[in-house]
Amino acid sequence: MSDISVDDAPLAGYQERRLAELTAVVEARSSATGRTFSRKRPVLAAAGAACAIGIGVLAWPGSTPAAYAVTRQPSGLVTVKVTQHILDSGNAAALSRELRSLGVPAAVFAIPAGKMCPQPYARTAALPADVYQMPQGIYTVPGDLPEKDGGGWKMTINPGHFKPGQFLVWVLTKSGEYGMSSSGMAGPSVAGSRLVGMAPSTATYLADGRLIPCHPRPWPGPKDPGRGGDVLFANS
Amino acid sequence: MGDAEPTSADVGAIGHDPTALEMFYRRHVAEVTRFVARRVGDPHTVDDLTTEVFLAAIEAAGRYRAGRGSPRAWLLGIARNLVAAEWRRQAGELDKTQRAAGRRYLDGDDIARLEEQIDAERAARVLYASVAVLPRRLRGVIELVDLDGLPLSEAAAALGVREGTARVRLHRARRRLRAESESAPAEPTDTTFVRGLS
Repeated sequence: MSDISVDDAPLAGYQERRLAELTAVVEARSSATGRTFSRKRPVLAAAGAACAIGIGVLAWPGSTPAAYAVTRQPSGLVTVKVTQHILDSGNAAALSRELRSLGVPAAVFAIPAGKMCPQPYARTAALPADVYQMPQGIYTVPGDLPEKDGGGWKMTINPGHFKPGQFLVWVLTKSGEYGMSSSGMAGPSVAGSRLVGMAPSTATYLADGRLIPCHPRPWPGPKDPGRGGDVLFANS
Repeated sequence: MGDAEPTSADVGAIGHDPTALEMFYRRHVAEVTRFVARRVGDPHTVDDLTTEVFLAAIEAAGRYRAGRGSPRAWLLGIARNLVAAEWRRQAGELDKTQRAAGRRYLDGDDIARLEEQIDAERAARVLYASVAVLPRRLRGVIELVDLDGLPLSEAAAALGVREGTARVRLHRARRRLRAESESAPAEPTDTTFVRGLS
């Protein structure tokens, strides 16, 4: 587990929740005094879609409760629900620590649209055929939570099915440009697709090797406004 | 996060900068929890008080001055005041129901983790009970130095007194406790305590 550590020793779940509460207090204070920790809402909710590495554009209504929840079921499966707060606060490190405190080898990175996080010592691993199937797989593709409950994402992870040295890299992008392809699939805006607005996105990778702290940088080459946040692995 | 001691600016920022708060919290939360658990045996109350210590620090961050003591001494000074207020509140049985209703949810794992820390500090709580025979002014410095392990300078800062004053009080407190133990019937915990202070 130490190989994927990108911050200090993990806190217990209740300590993480307390930190989230204290952070919310400080954010409220800074807002009240006009300091710059503003929140930005996505302006469009799009239908979910997934590809081989698990990139999706997800439904996201504007007003949501500020929280995330990680729960371990008696079966050992871990369920993660991410709501607006994680994206807005950029506090992905707290979610990483809570996952690791429950035995999930995972690192969560909040990466702005158009930026990438170089990981020269980590490589994507081959996905088993049933990777997204539960309970025999490793993790599910992040799926939409009901809008009536505030929206967001839900994902189930099976910590016992990672091979030694493997870990999950979960990328959260607060807001990026997204388009609709000629076939009607929603996804990151690319040449030939019709821009339909802005939405958060997420990507999951099964990887191995060693992670370093994420310092997002612009993607090399021509500017591509439709490109979401992503990780650049050694074998990307 | 490095090991360098935060500056006044770092501590001052916790009132408005979430990143500064997180660094500060991660650096000090274990010590504050232990500090509270040495004085309180209920997991919910330990959790409440630890939270209140950081809330009070957020509120008071702009008034922190490095010249008056390290961030740790400043924070434990806050913790000491809040624990004392909690004791007064419990003694007066004030708003007990209201506090219970407002508590955050702690699940079984949370409580187990807190109880581990509370158990680890059980011996210290016995020692705290032992120093209750001392006058309040003498008790404060011996608690912070001999039981919490603060250097004398930091204990003085936490108590808001000069280091020389703290040194005199510490010396008097140890002498009084030694005299108390010699005049009292021998008990294992008292004997251990007095040896530890010699």
